[in-house]
Order: sequence, then structure tokens, then C-alpha cells
Amino acid sequence: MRGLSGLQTLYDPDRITQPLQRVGGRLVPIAWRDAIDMLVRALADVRKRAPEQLLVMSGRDRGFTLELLARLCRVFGSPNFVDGTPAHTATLARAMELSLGVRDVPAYTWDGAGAILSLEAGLFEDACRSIYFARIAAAMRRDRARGARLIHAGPTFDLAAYNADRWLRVQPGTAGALALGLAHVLVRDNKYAEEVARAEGFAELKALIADYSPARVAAITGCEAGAVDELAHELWQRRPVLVVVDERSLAYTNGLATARVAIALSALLGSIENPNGGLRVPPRAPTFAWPEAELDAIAERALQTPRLDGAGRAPFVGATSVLDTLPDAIRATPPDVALLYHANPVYARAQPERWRDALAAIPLVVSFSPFLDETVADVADLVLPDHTFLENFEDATPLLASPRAVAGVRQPVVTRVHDTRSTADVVIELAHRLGEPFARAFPWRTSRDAFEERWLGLHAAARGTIVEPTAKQFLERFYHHGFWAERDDALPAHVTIKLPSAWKEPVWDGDPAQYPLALVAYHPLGHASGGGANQPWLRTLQPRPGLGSWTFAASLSPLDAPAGVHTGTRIRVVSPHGAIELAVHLDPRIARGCIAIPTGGGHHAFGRWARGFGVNVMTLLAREPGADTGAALTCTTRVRVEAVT
Amino acid sequence: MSLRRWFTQLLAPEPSPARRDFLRNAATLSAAVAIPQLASAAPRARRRRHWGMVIDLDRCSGCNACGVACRQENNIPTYGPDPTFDGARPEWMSMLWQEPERADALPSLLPLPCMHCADPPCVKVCPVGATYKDPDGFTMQVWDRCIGCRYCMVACPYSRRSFNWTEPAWTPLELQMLNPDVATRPRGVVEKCTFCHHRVRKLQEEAALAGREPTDAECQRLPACAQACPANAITFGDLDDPDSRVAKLSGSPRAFRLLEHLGTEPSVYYLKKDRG
Repeated sequence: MRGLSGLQTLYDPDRITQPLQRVGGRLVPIAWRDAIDMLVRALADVRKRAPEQLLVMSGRDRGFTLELLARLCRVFGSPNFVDGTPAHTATLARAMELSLGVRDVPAYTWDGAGAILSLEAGLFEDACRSIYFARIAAAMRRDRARGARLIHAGPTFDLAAYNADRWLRVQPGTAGALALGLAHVLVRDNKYAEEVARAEGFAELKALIADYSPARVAAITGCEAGAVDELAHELWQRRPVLVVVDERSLAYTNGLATARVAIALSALLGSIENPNGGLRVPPRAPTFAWPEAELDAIAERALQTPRLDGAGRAPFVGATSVLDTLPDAIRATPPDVALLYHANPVYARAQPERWRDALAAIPLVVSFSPFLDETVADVADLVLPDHTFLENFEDATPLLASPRAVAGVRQPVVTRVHDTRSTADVVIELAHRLGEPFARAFPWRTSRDAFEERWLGLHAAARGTIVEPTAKQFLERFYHHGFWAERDDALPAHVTIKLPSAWKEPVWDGDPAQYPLALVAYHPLGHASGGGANQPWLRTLQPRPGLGSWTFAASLSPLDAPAGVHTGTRIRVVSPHGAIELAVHLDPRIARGCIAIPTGGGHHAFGRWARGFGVNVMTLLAREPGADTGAALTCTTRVRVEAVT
Repeated sequence: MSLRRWFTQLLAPEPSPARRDFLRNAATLSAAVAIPQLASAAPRARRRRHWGMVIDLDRCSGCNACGVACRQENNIPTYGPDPTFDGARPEWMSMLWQEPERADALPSLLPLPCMHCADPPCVKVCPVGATYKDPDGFTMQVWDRCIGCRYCMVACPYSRRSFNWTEPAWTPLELQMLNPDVATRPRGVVEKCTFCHHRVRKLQEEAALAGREPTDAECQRLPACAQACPANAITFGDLDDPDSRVAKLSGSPRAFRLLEHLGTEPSVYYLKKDRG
């Protein structure tokens, strides 16, 4: 859908049309040459004094342009490259690392699978692989002699619950307990894959699941004890099974443990690296890597300084980036320059006003955003607008859903509409202008040269959907088709499974006596965390089954509603960190004790379609990152609801 | 003949002999210039179709990709969040949410295009002939002829017609994203789903140039909604062709039509959900 509404991104009437510079508090046009001169001077100055004073922050978690920015940051000598993984895939990738030794998001084989078990996953709504799941759910149901079942456990009646053959309404953050209960029944009844008994940690897992009898699981999750027994046996009969968790499942304080338990359940059901179905380690496309950049003494020394965000150190030992620690760290020791690539923390992160105050303390904030988002409007000093995806030439590296490696290219379908430039090209120009050692580390004339160097690895592999005798012919066909893919799924790999030994119920911020409801902040259909909020076609979608278009409402059980509140009434939702007012939709299907509020509302910038519609739920959230992973968690806060008089 | 008289005849309601000759000559000339290979060919009768659609609710996940694709393809204006327009924003393809009759049952989502009824109530009530039944099964509307009386909206039992309450507010930049194959509609005009009639005609013309009929495979995902559906839930084709996929699916034991008892003979079939 985001792709279908791409025209509204391209022709957004409120796009940034040229580079901007803040003068006297206002953003005014500046020529590209002058803007880049200004940035080069600032970067050269910072590098002379203290290279670690450069902060590079991305809202994206993958892609060649991101890697170019990381390279620039490393050659510069700054350890402070913060990518978008904490808000996306950090928890799942870390769980895979701890369980299977591969730090990546799992792929799935479904050809012979008998069921999908979704543990609070936002399968059809907010997962970036939702289109894939829509396709395979339909195919598993209708295109095979043996139809598969979709079983979903979750607290709200979302599209996954709507589509499920069986929906288990569970309390938020407790799907891990359900998985442990299923594991309990499988082990109790001696129904599990033999190889799991030889896996590391099986004794500890047995000790853990001993505590999660169906009766206890029923007490924790709110589902019926009989359902756990019944479901475990059904899954065993239907194995292999896709046990799916995603960002929505893992947005709680116990996200990492839940992901590990889900992987353990897959293992018990014989559904890991099974060619018929289940969890697979995603293969990598055989692209070349760029040669390691040579670092000079300045960079070597500066890279030894500790990261601002605390990633890699206790308590975030498993993190490569942490977002929520940054505002305090920035305020304590503000960097001299911040480069923001498709990042809008002043809107999209917990307690956005903290981000505004922190970024305002940085002398030069540079944004590459193509849109006048909150970060640009409030704090950016220099804006070097990127193309939108229909104008840009860059890689399209998908988050693999199937175990078949793919490499894609995104090419301009129109000439650029405004005076914008590809950020990848800007990064290369900056490197050339900064001189050595940057010029040596960025030997390409344009970003296209850099990207083609990577893609020629696909040509050298001489396999897959495109095999040509020469590099030129390979690239011609690659650009014509738009992608290269392996011809077959990867063969099952041998993986060493390490099973988990602990799981805890989620911890909620706020005194339950004062704040009785658990807040579930969710990405609604279409416009995710607010990134699509400037596209009216996406705004027109119903954010949740049963709600109208252009509706922004909290979903609440009628049993939890204050007296006199009915659907359409405005309520005040108060957390320990803030309060918002919005309409309520009384939903008899939502689990008691929680309130679901969509993200993506309450923009005060970002164009005419986004501005002023709804409220920003991020103002209510606690800002404690996930332990170990540093993940940005969105379901950790308790709230209370008051009627607005 | 004076120029003035010739021009008056040209504009006359009934073609005069002179005007007929002019039109014939002009048509022959343009055909000869534009498509010389057809200029000398004998006119070929195009096969009549009964275009229809089957929507498999067991495949549909309710993702709304069909609705977004439809808006993009058909230049459907955006009214924004103004609550004045709640329930009245133009939409040709949207998700109908149905609460169940039984308390223990779950609700259902229904992608809802125009039903393109074989006996459409909307056509009967139009006082100016703006809406009409095309021989190929389309229920069509001539935007420029509509006077905005909205009788058709009242008559349509499926509520599949929308009224343009305001002039579409395209900014100059947004004008560039409009689909040139579909006319925009002004204020005061009723609009509706056309089954992406323009795509069907284009395919038929391309096939005719190649001297053949469109194949069923070319038609199955021809409308924008069907093309966008990731779950392959929407199938389009000729209901009169017994070999077409849409005809076969419409004969499924799961097939039903909406409000069939009204006798409107919709051309859209649904295949019921088979879950639980």
C-alpha cells in the first residue's frame, strides 16, 4: 500500500523543494553548492577538534545509503552511528543470535506447513512483511489440498484476529507464556522433535516450562486452560508450523524472552530449518562488500571513545544502537554536528519533546528529509532534501520473508520534481570534498558506481535468475528486471539451537492503582509509525476493523470505560508522562484491562494531510529502552482514562 | 455552399448529406492515417461480453490495497478529515464492515465495488440518461450529463455511488499525479466504479489491432483493485465464457451475491469465508 500511494509522496504539495538553511529562526532557501560548502566546513572543523562529536542517526535499518553513511561516520572517527534497528528488528535479530547464532530476522518456509501460530504479531497490519503474509495466508488456505490454519493470540481485534481461524484473546505481553504453556504440554505428552532433547539448554527449558502448566498459563494470559492443551495437540498434528513474532509482539519489556521462547517452540515442533515449513535462517544475496575503509590515526583514536547511546555496554550488551538513551546523553554532552537520515525523532520517538530539547542543544543539525517533518520544522539548521523513492536510484534490499535471497534495485520512474539530491550522492560528494582519508574510502564518482560494485557480486556468482557473460550485460538485465533472485530456496542449514531458561511477565511503568490500564500503542494499517501520515490515500483507510476512515480513536472495552462514556465520546488518557484527549471506540472484543491507541496522529508539521489530525500517543510512553537489545518499546506504560466534561 | 451554411449543417442534430459525407470522409481519412492496416480491412464484430468479478473472502485479508489502488487509478478526490464529509467521501471500492447477527460470531469485511447489476435500479431512475447499461455488462455513467439529482444514489441498494460535494481541490503539483485515462469529475456530479472500463477498452483495442480477442489470463487481474490485491482474492473476466476463471469461480458452492432477492442480478460474486 505504501508503494501504491507513492504518487502522493512524489507529488506531496508540502514537500521540501530545495535545500534550506535556518536563518534567524526561519528556514530559508540556500543553493546546493553553498549548503554543501557549509557542511564541509563544519565537518572539517569538528574532525580537527573532536571527531566523536559527530552524530549520525538514521530512521532506516538497512540499505546501501545507510551503509555509506556508516562508512562516512567510521572514517570520520565517530563511534556515534545510530541506525533505526531499535525501532524495528533489534529484538528479533538479537533473539536469533542468542538462539541460533545468526543475527538476522528469520525467514519462513510455508510450502508444507500446516499452521501459522501468531504470537501477538501484527501479521497483516504493521509488519513490513504484511503483504507477504497476506499472500501466503491466502495461498495456504486455498491453493493447497491440505488447508492450513491461522491461529492468532493477541489482546485486540486487529486484522490478524479477524483473519484467524482461531483467535485466542490474551492479555498484552503474555503470548510468551502461551508459548511456554504449549511447550509444557508438548514435552509433558512426549510430543516434540527428537533433536531438541540434544540441544543446549534443554534441561533448563524443561525446568522453565514445568512452571507453565495450562492452568497457570490461563491465569496469566486470560485464555482458557483447555485451549492450551487442545492447541498444543493441534499444532503437533499440523507440524511443521510457522511460529511468528514481530515488532508488535516484542514491544514489551519481555520482548527478547518472548522471541526466544517462540524460537524454542518452533524447535519443539520440528519447524526450524525444515524444508517443508517453519523458521529459516535468511540467506544473503552474494553481493560484493566494499573494501574495508582505511582509517587514519585520528579516526582510530576517536573511535575508542564510548558511544553516546551506550550500545554494546551494560545494560545494552546486545545492542548495536539505542535510541531512547540519546536525549539525555545529548543534553549532557551535545555533539557538534548531527546528520539525520530519514529520522524524525521529534515526532516518532517516546516523549518527543525531550528529543526537541536535546537536538536544539546541538549547534548544527542537518536533515536529509524530503518532507517538512517535525524535526526539520523545529530543530534542523540545514536541510539537504533527499529524493523520494520514485525519483531515486538506490538498492531495494528487502527484509527477506522466504529463504530465497533477493537483491533489488530502485530506479527513477520520473525525473526529479524538485531541486533534491540523492543522499548517497551527497555523502560521496562530502567525502570527496573532505579530502583524505575520505576520498580514498569513497573512490566512486557517483552512488551508482558504488552500488554497481556491490551488485557485480551477483554477476560473479553466475547463478540465480540473471546469468550473463559480461558485467555490462548483467547490469542491463538487472536494471530491466529490477531484481535478482536465487532460483530456489536455500538448502536447510545446520544450526545449533540454544534454548532459553527464563521468561518474565511484562513490566509496566506506572502504579496500577493510579493507572489501571495497559497502553498498547500500535501501528495502524497503512501509515505505520507516522511516516505515511502525509498521504491522504493511506489516511482514508480504516485504522482498525470497525473504525471509519479518517478516524483517530482509542479502542477500549466497554467494561473498562468510565460511566457515561460511549463510542464517539472524547476521553482523556493520562499516563505518568503526559495526557492526550481523543475519541473512544468501545470495542467489546478487546481484552479487558488494556487500551489500544494508534500511532501516526498528532503531527504539528509534515504537511497539510498530517498536521493537526489525531494526537501523538508517543507523548504518553515511558522511555526505558529494552534491556540487552536497546529496543525502542511502545507497550510499557500504564494509563488511566477519564471522561472529558 | 457558403461556409456559414456548411458550418450550420455540421452542427445540425440530424446529419445532412453534406455533413454525412464530411464525417465519413474524415473518419476514413483519420483511420487511413492512424491505422493504415485497418483502413482497408472489413469491420470485424467484437464478441459481446458480460464482464464480472469474483471476490474470494477466504483469501481477502482486509488489507485495503484494492481501495488505495482504485483511488490512484480513478482520480478519486480526497476530502480530508473534515467530519462534515463523514460517510460522504467519494469511494468506488471500499471495505464494508459487517457486525454479525449472533453475539458469539465474528464480524466480516467485504470489499465492495459497484455490482454492475444486469438489471440496475440506478439506471431506471436517472432522469437524463446519464447512467446507462453498456452492452458488455458495465453500468456506466456519463459524468458530463449528470445533473446531480442523486436519484441513483437513493436507488442503489448497495450504496455504491458517491456525490461530489465540492470541486476536487487538486494542487498544481497533485494535478501531475492524475491518471490521464480517467476524466476527473466536477462538483455536483455522481460518480461510481467503472470496473476500470478504460483498461478493458484499451486491452480490447490492443487485441483488435493484433487481430484477436483478449485472453482470459489477460483479463483476470485487469481492474486496478484486482491487480493490486496481494492475496489474489479478486478475479475479473467474462461471466458468459464458460472457460473463464471468473465463470468457474462464480459456479462455486461458496458463491453468493449481495441482496440477490432484489433481482438486480449483480455481476459481482463473493465466495464465502471458510474459516473457523
